[in-house]
Amino acid sequence: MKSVKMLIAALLIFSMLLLPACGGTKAPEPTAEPEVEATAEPEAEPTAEPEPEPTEAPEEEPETEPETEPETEPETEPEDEPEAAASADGELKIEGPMIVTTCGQSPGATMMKMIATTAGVTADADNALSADTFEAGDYKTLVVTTGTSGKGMGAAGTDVDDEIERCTALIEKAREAGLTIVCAHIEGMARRTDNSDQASIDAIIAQADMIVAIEDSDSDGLFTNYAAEHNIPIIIAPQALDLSAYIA
Amino acid sequence: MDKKTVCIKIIAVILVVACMATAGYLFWEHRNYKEPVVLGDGVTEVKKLSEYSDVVKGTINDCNVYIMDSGVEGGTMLVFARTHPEEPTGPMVTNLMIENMKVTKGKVIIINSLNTSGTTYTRNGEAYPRYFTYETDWGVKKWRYGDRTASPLDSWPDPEVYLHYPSGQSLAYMDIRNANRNWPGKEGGLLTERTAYAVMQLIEQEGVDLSLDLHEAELEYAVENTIVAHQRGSDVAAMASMTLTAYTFDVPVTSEISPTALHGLCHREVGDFSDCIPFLVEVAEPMLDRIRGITDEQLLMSGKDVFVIEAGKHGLLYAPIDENGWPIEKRVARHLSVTTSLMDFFGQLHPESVITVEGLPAYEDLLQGLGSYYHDPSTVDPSRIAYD
Repeated sequence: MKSVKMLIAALLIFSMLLLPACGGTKAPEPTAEPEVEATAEPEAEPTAEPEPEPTEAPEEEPETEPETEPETEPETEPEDEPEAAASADGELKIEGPMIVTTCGQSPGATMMKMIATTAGVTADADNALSADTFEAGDYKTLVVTTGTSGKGMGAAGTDVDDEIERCTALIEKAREAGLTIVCAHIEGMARRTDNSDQASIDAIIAQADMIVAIEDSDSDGLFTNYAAEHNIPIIIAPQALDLSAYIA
Repeated sequence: MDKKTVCIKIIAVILVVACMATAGYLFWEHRNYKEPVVLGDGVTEVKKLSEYSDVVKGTINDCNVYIMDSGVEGGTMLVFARTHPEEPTGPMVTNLMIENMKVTKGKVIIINSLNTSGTTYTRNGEAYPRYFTYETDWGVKKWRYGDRTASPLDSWPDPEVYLHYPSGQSLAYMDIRNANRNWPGKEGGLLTERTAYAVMQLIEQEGVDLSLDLHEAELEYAVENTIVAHQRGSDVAAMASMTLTAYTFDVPVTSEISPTALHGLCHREVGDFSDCIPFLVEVAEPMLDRIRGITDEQLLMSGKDVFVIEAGKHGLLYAPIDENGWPIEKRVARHLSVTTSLMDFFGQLHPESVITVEGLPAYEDLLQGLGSYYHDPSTVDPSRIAYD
């Protein structure tokens, strides 16, 4: 009898020792329901490569402050043959007025619009712009920002294939109207993490008259190499805000 | 029963009672600790949330509402922390603002502890510290550390499936206690639903133009170092993220537009159900990562963990981390910079809602230490101290 009691006591002690271990190895609550967590928070794309280099501030700050209302009005009609615009000093420029959309529902189009506004150039952004809704008006340039937001596309009821289809049709119509087509990637490596990001880049860059990227986005030379191989003009800026110097 | 057995049983009972009493005291102390908040010259009034809606009156979530009114016409901003009380940067930022900031145009409203209930207990089985502290010249400033959700002691029982009101979207059962899954709130709901409802009343009655919810996230999670904005605020968020990334931060802060089909989150519902434009900001907190090692205050404040750092080397994280970790100074500096940057760009893009402030330290200054920005409550007129 005594040995039975000893055995029961030993089992009890053993089970008590296991309790904290179970608690300690239990997944935390937010991750215990990963599917809920994954859908209940908006997804920001990964902010960096596994170990990105710290971004350095540019040496010069932009000369203009953001303005509520763009100052520059359209001056000329779109050219018949789209080509990369050059400023008086020969520097490559993105010509305004411009219409901006995103191939992947990331905030890139809004960023591009704000950069253009900072430069005093008229820009409109429409994440759902399509060949059916597009009106050339006074626009000289169509900018399509690449890199995707999974949650952005999910919330908009679309996916990268639909996005590419929409943008391809849009580009075709914009080109017919004489607009310059710009493929932009201005959100850094945060928008170059998965196959959807790459698919949007591959689809748009192949149809572009000009490429625009920031240094972080081109940290592996993807855009500069493509531009060199295909003889396409390219603008690389240290930071997204620095692109305002390249918009006219 | 022989004497020896009786003796062993008595000792066992004494040990168990001693453990229960110690644990009980620690739980009681944690739940009842009051955090002193020194009211800086910029604080013009301290209200209770129940003054905006009595649905939280008498509950633990009837939190303090700190009003900082310049008296000069301008915009109104609401900044709130501890939606998730396991994220310490938020209250450290709002405390710093309350003690040091002066509003020179418009009004700023601050809530240190939105989900106070969640600050009164920690997560079962996770060995969280009960408090987090920061060394100052006058001593240690101390806050309660908490869990992600409200305590079951204050909100019980949880439903089998939580149906968000009013969308009807299904969420996990414990999200009924998650203060960022209940917006825009429910007048007759459970604790966090009522809390969100009361804050919506505050937003309406105070005419809040923009709100900011301060958060932290594990590096294993994709929503990291990001400003999430309602679509009406995407331009402001874009400007803030681009500017801070270009000129201030070593690690970029991105921006993200709040999904339209996911309900219960402040950056969606506040914008849909009021004129206020809501924002939420995240910064890296390695203590929240599941792969972390020893879970203590040291990890919480230093943001250094060998296992998380190792994961980074294998490309498993969404934010960079090295041997310097993510120290609390950097996290506070980033959140405060985002707060003032959103304020600035909101004013530029909405000229009728300009808010200007002074007295806040710069990003680089905060990286050197936070201690000098918190003041000794024992040397302050008691009428200028509030308790959260």
